[in-house]
Amino acid sequence: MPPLLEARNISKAFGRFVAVAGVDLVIRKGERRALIGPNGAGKSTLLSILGGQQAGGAGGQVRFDGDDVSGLQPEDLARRGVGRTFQISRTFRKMTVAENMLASLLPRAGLIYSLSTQRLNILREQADAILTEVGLARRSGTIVDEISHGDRKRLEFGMVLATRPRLLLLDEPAAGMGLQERQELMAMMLDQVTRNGITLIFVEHDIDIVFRIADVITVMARGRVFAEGNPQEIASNKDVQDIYLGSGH
Amino acid sequence: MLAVQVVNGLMEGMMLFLIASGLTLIFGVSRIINFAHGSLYMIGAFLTYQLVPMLSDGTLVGFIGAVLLSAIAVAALGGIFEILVLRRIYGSEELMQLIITVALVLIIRDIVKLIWGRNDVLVSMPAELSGALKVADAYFPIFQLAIFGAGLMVIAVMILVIKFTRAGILLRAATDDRGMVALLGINQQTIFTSVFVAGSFLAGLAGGLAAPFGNINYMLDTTIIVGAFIVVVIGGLGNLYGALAGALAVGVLKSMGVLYYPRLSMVLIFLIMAAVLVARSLGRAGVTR
Amino acid sequence: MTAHHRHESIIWLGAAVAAAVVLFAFGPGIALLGTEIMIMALFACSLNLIMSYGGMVSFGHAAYFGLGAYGFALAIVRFDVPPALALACGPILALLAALLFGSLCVRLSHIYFAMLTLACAEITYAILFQAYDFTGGDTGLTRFVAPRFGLTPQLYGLVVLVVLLLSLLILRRLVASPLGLAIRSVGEDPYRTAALGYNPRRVQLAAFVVAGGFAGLAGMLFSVFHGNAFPDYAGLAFTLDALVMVVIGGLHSFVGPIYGAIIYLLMKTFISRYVGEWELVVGIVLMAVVLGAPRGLAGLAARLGIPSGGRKS
Repeated sequence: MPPLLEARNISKAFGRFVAVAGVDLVIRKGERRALIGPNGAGKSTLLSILGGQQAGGAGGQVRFDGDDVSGLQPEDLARRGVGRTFQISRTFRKMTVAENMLASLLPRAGLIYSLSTQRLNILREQADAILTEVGLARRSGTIVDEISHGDRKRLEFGMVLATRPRLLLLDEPAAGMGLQERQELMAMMLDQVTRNGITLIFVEHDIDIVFRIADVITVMARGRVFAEGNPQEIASNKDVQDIYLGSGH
Repeated sequence: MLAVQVVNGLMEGMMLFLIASGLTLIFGVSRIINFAHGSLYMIGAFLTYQLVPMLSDGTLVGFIGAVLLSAIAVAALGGIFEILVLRRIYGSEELMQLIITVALVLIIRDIVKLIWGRNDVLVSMPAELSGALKVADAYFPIFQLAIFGAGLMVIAVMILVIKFTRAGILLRAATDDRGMVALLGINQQTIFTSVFVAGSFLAGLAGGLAAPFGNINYMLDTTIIVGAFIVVVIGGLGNLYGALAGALAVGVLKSMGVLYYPRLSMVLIFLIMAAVLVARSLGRAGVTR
Repeated sequence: MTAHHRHESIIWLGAAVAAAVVLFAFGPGIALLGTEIMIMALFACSLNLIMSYGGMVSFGHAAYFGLGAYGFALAIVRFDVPPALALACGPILALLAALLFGSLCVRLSHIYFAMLTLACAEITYAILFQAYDFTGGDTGLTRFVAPRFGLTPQLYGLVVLVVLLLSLLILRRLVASPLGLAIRSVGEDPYRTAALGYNPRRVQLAAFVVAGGFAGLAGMLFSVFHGNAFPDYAGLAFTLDALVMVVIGGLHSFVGPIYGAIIYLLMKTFISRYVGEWELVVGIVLMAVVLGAPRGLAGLAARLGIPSGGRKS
């Protein structure tokens, strides 16, 4: 079976600063891949290239499900089944939680240009179902600006779920939360990923979470792949311990 | 004829740059799009008109003194506006910031009407700078050459300040990364105010320098601001050197346009801006925000 | 129909009846002013669709207002189209222009978007101003129909009122539709919508074209109102008028622009009778609104319990 995602020799520079320098990444269907590495290692940039946000000016080739998708726009990738969350979650902050969900359901339902309010009402059921899944059912009528940071992370995850992604790119899904909230959030996300058969690539600084969830860990430093392997291999890799695990992260 | 037209264009471009430099400086640091920049220019022109007769009319020294005093007064005015009004809205929606400067445009225009009336006024050219320089068989007005020289001096001073002084270093830091200035332990508010004052000074200076060049009236504000915006947009917002290149290019193209396509002269700069913007949008894929 | 909807319908109906009473009760002068207010309100509402919902600030919206007027006028003057049919030519021309210019403009964002809309409008203005043989140049087009088709001010006011109400009804439905939700989403965060599978530029273009069409409708009504068409109708001054109306009335509110048009034109009419410098007053009011009540009059009204048609659902 061909890999779901095959990225070859990916590179991206901002002016003179080379953020990603010739990275290869091959992800099996159903795999859970963690990207770790110190700040500025190029993890977020790599995710953005895979999600199409930084497609312009990036070098290398990306194949998704056998097709060459290099340089495609985010909307094209989203329609093919690449979903992502952002380091600072992006939601529609002046709209209600339910409206955020509905807006996320429109592309798949083919209703972006529809004028039928009735059709929108039919989507409400689906929206409520997903909100229940991500634990936001009670918040459905609240303006997003007024919900907590953790709830916004849940909402953003739910919005991406609504697009039925096959590959999910999560950028620091658990950042900025207390221990318990983080564990609950990760458990919820993992449950959804498993049940929907979604392949996962995530960037995370919390090493406990990384080692618990990931099948394969890619360690990046200075825009390159520094080491790659299963959690045991990475844990016992002396170089990784030196540059990364030892540095107190 | 062509050479004269080019010199004309360069002079106009230099004036455009003087106006645009303040606009782009302010945007670069505090992300404020100041619609009232043209109004400040207009006040500079009117103040010069008021001051020239008081300071030995018709001499170069009197003229320079009047222009500098006007620029300082306009800078003070800009400072007051920044402290009293702009400060309250730095964090709010872009549109609100824009509207508040539009409000200032309306207020200044009517105050100018109240003080100086609705008719055109003229500022006499200093005697030393009237007349023309004959090169080959073309005549170049000395005043225009002098304005161009003054513009070069302002550019030189700006470059020196930006490259070599502490204020310049702070300015560059603030333009590149606003968080950084806070890290340097500098009060961001002070920087915003100083930059707004400096930008206003440049607007007043440009208004004063250009005063003898044409009619001064209360409608100057919109003409000036639209031209300055176009230059700034062509050069890239916040980019000083881009503004210089844009200003000179627009100035020359405009005066050449007057020569060859007089019917198009009004719309030419808009066509240039549209072309630059469309080219920019085609050269870049995806949504940027 | 929910209680909320019924409540809202009653208010709309009440406002319509009140407007009709004002048109007929105070003589032709007030009827003319009321008609101008309604036309400008429609124009401001069209701008509000892209500003408050689509997140796009246009400096060139008057282009479509002006083309609405010229589409109507030119159809009669240059193409001998029967007036009844010419009425449709105005909005259609504006719509097509919005499609053409919009497809260029939506590729940009923020101030660059605004400046390109300005450039498009100024180019439109220049064409109207300078193509003497076709558009009549700066002398405009006059005497091709009687002002208001010869209707009394009151009757024409009633016609405009009906058109305004129908337009508002359509806009209200649009805002509540899936496309309306898409426009709002893209207006808030185009980046996010792209990552969800939207083509944000196409959604923005849809909003831009609808707004252009309604601006053209307003321009056509204005042209009929005065029985003429001038290049100034596409000029920056008209755009700024509409922008000011939207802000005074209240950003992010459906009915804000209507309040804005009423206040702005009342100020213009009555203050300018006593002081020549009425713009000074507008400037001060604008500053007060931005500093003190950024949600405008609609925001103040909402605090007093009057529905503002705001975006909470």
